[in-house]
Amino acid sequence: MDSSSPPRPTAATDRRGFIKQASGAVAVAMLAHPLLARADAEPSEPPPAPGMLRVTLNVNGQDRTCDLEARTTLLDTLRDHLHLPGTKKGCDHGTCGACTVHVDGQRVLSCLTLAAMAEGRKITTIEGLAAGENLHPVQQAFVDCDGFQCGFCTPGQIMSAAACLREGHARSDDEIREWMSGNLCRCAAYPNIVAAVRTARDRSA
Amino acid sequence: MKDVTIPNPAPKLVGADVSRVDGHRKVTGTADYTADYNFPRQAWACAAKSTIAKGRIAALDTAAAEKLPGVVAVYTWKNRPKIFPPKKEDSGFMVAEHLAPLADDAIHYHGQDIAFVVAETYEQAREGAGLIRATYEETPAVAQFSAPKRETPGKIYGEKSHLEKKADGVASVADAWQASPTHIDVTYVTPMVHHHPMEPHAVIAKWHTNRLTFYAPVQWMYGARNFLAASLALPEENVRVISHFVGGAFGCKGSSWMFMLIIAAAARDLDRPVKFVIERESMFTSVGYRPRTTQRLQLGADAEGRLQAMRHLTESNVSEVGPFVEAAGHRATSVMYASPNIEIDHQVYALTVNAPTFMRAPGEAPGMYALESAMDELAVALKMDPVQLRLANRTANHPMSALPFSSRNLEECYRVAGEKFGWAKRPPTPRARLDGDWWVGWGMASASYAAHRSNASARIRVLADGTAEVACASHDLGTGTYTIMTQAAADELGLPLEKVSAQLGDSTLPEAPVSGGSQSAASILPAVQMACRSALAKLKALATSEADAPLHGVAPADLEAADAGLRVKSDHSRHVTYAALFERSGEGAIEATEKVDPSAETKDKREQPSYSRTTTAYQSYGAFFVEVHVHRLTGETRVRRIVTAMDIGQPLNLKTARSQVIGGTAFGLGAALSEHSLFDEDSGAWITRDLGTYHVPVNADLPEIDVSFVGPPDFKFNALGARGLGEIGNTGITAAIGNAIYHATGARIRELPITPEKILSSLDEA
Ligand code: FES
Ligand code: FES
Repeated sequence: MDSSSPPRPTAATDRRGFIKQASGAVAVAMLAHPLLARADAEPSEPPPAPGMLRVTLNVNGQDRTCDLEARTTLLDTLRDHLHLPGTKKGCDHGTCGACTVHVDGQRVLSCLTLAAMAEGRKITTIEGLAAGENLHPVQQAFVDCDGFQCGFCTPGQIMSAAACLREGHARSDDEIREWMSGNLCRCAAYPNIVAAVRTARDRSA
Repeated sequence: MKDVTIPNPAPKLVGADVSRVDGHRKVTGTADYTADYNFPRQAWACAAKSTIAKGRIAALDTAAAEKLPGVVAVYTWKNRPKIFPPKKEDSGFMVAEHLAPLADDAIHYHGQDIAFVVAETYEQAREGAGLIRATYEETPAVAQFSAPKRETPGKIYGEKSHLEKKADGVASVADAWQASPTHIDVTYVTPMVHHHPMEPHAVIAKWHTNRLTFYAPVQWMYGARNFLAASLALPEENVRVISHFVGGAFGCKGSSWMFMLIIAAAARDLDRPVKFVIERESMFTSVGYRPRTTQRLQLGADAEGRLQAMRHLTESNVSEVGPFVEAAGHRATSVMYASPNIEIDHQVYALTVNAPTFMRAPGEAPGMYALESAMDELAVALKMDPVQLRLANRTANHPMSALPFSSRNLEECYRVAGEKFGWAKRPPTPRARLDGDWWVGWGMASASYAAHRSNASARIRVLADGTAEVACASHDLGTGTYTIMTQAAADELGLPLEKVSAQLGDSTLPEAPVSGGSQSAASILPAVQMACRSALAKLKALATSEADAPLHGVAPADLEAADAGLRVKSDHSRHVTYAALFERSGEGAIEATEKVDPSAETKDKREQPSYSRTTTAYQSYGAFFVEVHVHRLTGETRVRRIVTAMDIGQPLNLKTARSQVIGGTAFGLGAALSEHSLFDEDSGAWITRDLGTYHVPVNADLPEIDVSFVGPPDFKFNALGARGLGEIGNTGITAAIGNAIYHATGARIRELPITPEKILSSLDEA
């Protein structure tokens, strides 16, 4: 192992933290259950169906409201309710990194995050990373360096890579390897992913 | 494509270092994989699975699931929707599991689907499946690897399970081995391992009256279509299979799986789209794996290292419900080295377990591991350099059939990769270098994979705006198929890359073979070329035939495609663009579809194992050189350098070709060091059920990998000179790592994966 420590999951992604927060969120959701029509909901909007929770998420700079079962993960909400399928489900239990998104600028595993836990926080997905037509430097570097093969892990890799650069964890190839090791790539584009992160770093230097 | 400039006609795009044409979609999250689709009125399915390996379901309680809000249907063997599952595969498709789904109350393996719950939401379906309660009458499972009777399988890749050649006067290969001045007798074990593409299998079935649209990541569009049509009693043209992007496959999406049928039938039954996404844990029980092999290698050599006898005797498991055989010697010892006496044998034993299937380099991966490890052990016994031993056994002809190879440059692979690696400086004895607490070792091995081709068709359309569309029902598994199809069509039509778009992953497109056996590029690109040439003939007619046509009077043969149009070969200033031709003729498009049948080209290019071909053997080769560091206290292995050279004919795209080799190499690295699907020999259940316990390589496990391509294009094989390269990277590398670990530590570990605890206990003994 290299001397730098491997990436630590954030509170929302660590399993113990998850259980604590998740059970909290579900408990709140259930307590709130009879009062599901929220104070800030439009008066004209019908209240959510029984058992459903109305959640407003700030995704890629937009407020998006949807009615969910309280147990719905952020990952499934993005993919199946908000029509943002770019974020991928590789395992659904925190082992692969395919579902990585940014929550308040930090990389987070959206499969280990309930949608309700992300209310009021800024969520960025792969669909929101580019500035309009211009690819984010990490996206462009992935294309140039062939940082993918099948592409399935790629959204998660790119979200991790963008965070990795912002965290300052890309100072050497070994550091990139270590801090990108939470994102599995079965195609093993790894050497090219390292090259892409290095390239993005150098281009924006 | 900013890193590509295109001076037509040369240099060609084929063979160049071109970024993927689908790269933009992949980095923006807009590449559409199966599970990304949702349809109006769609329901979700989830499977409940058996928790015993063998017996029968005594009672199945579905009441709680049925009562759950949102649940629309629960299917079990008692109310299976109407299907006609095939007993086994026919030529139009492949099935790995020979077991009809939800057929009766019998349990054939642990994790067998016993019920499907369909509900309004994913969460409800999942909860519903968890509420299914089964009680069982258990009968003994055959789960001990040593227990079942060994049997002779049917054909292995078209060959007999026992292959033998003997020199005149030799009574048996065993005798010749015994009589060799130096001989070794070693046995290697490779465990069961799983594919684990990052995209789990997913299917969505959608009906319009009696027509089925089926979204599924598959390696064989036509195979899936034919399987569904046969099993649902539909004409083939009523089934459309779609998968524009496949999130990795590695073999486990090549066969059709029985759950596909249940989902299709449920959607018909419920008259609404049904979506089913497999959970990662079910990837262990439901979509195949690589069987376990035990391989005994007996190699005998004279004092110069020339092999006098080779015996490669394999036992591997099959499933009681799946007969797939993981070959070994058949795909390795039959094609590597000159020896007058060679014997290859394969026996199988059936376990109570789900069906195995092809996995990246099926046969070659375990077979080359064992052979190339044994060659290293023989080199040690002979006190010879491992490269010199291999050079002493070079052959120009196929060792079994004596056919000449179309192109074989293995020695060049050793030279190029060995020089880059610095092999000449290798200390001859093991345990020679300690760097801090790390033993440093160097190892090498050869790589090899057969070259395959099959029938394939492709369609080209040149449109009025001067752009072109190239299409065939092939697959891009990360292999770069979109990109190389685009490159080939652009070259043929004299178009820049961005004026050509490629379509694949749709069974309504012209037929392409299964993307397995590293054959897709070699099969479909000749068809793309032929279709382009047919389209060009029509375009040339447009340009020349009428009296006022722009190039009237020029013979079509004197025209060539260039600069988005046609020009006179001898006078490049006489040029007309396709767009101008269309404008003049008023036609909307020119279209051509061509099929290329390799067996019609020449008799010996048929899709056959190279051993039984009639005039020429086709095989790719390569070499791996590896440096490992092994920690003397923890037994941890770090692979520090990998240098490889590959003789695969013409690489079609240097960028994606290099990526494919790296991907295969990483597969072999995982097999060497960490991958092991633990199987409980008491209960018949898989123990590893997630990616936290099944360790695929992570980024930090891979060093830089230096890839070279050597050898000329193989024009005897096809018009592009290209043999496939999806699998060869996963051959030999596993042995090279094991050989390097031996060189580092003096410990020879013959059971994969080579984990720290195995190294530590060997270090104690060493
Ligand atoms: S899907 Fe979230 S970590 Fe795998
Ligand atoms: S590109 Fe296929 S899993 Fe990473």
